[in-house]
Amino acid sequence: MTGRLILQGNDAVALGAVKAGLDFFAGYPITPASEILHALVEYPGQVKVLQMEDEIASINACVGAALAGAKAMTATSGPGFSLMQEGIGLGHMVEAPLVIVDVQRVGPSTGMPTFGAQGDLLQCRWGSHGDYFPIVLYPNSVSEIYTQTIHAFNAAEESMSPVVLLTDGCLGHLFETAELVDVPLKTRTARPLGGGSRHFTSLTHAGDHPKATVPSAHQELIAALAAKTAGVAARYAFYEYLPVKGADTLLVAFGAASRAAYHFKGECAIFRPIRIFPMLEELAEIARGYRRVVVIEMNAGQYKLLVEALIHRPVGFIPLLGGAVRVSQIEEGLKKCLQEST
Amino acid sequence: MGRVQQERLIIAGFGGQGIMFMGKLLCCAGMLEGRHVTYMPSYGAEVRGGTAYCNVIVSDEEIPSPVVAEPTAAIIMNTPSLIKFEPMLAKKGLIIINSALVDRPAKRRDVEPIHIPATNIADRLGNTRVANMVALGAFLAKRDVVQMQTALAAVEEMLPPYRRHLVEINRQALGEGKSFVESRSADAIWGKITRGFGFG
Repeated sequence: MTGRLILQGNDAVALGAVKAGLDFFAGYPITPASEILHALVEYPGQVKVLQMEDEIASINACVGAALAGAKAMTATSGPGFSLMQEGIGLGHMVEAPLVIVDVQRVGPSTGMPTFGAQGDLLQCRWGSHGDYFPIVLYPNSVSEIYTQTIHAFNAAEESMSPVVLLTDGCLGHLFETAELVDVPLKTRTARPLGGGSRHFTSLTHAGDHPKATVPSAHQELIAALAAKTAGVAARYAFYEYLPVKGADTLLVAFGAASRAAYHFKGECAIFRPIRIFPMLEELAEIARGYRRVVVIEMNAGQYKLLVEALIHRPVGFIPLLGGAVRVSQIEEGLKKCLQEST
Repeated sequence: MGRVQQERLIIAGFGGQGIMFMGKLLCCAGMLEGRHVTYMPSYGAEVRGGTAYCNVIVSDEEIPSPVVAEPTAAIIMNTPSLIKFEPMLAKKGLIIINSALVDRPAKRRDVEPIHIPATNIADRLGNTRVANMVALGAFLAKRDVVQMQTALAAVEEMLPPYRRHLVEINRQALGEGKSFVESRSADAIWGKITRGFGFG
């Protein structure tokens, strides 16, 4: 069985990152993401690993390393991801390519550290202040975690921005048979700090002016950031669509929840976005073919709001809370959704 | 005993009993036999000695959800785990109970219990920590999920070099668990005493 091995989700992140050419990792241990830090320590010749005093220091160290030309990554879970938000905004403003891995756990606050959740979706998109347009990828198997980690680095390099790789406590700690599929690497074109005349400032900047104070300068900056990430994201429009003959219901699920949703692939069609943000226009198109769209997610209704906004009609919703990812819960939820819409 | 096409297993006990090692070992052995496997651990972040359990699925087909809600088999190493997981077991499910540490037999009549004093057997072998392998040996004697020799190969693969000397006692422990089930006599007597009927 060549090419097949048994691997934990978090280890797959580390392997993928090393494959992608990771130079620098800064992080602070947190359940259920710590194994990523532990695994990377095993590559002393390739990756410089720093255990920082907290997550704020970690993200800022990564921004610094990225500006200096390194491929940088940090990994955390919900509480740490909250702390990192300001640094993530900084990364977008100074156009620092880096990867942030968020192995989501039940929150808010300390919540349930060893249980998986999907409560950080909106935080990925709008957690930092101001306008920015992050690329967020969310695989659902150990094999896919490996490949998407490499994609996350590529997307960061191409977009010169922080890219979030989402997983969850279920996937992070899950061991399963995996096949590691590589993708070609993208290389950076921008010169590192100290080379050329680029400004590295968190203030609104325009051209070679480090502190623009007119509204038009800011409008242009934001428009440029939006156009840049949208252009790159188009090349990372990953999703899985499983249609089924005669089905009138489309299930939308991702990450660990989508694994449970697979149990219904005989009766319902399934759409699984891998690129969570920017949201996939393909979903709007596919949803038109179904009478009913039902979002299954491990939070109290985050992506559901956005799917409704995207497809301009109400959608059914099945929340999986407190770390439970039960097929029986989905079954009950589906029954309820069917009753409501008939 | 036919080859099991899909086994959904819960292994449970307290931290330190080698619960996660058992899960990983089955997973590794399953992979060595070219099957699809998932292993999902669950344990407290702050409490050592607290409840620890894992979900293992070994299957001929790709595994959708790695979460085991209705196990086809369970290996129960302490009393709290029996209370928690016995009701979840599927009908006709197999339940291996470490009778050395569990203070009551299985209650359900629609499951197949094996009561094995795994910790006592491990003590007799000279290392209480191989109780997990005794229980696993008993499980593998009942269910053809992976071959015993593949389980042994997985032990060798998983033990780090500085623990190489423990391969032999793990082999013995697996064998003890297997022969315990194969003789079955002790369990039948135990069942008669505690439940008033023989174990079938």
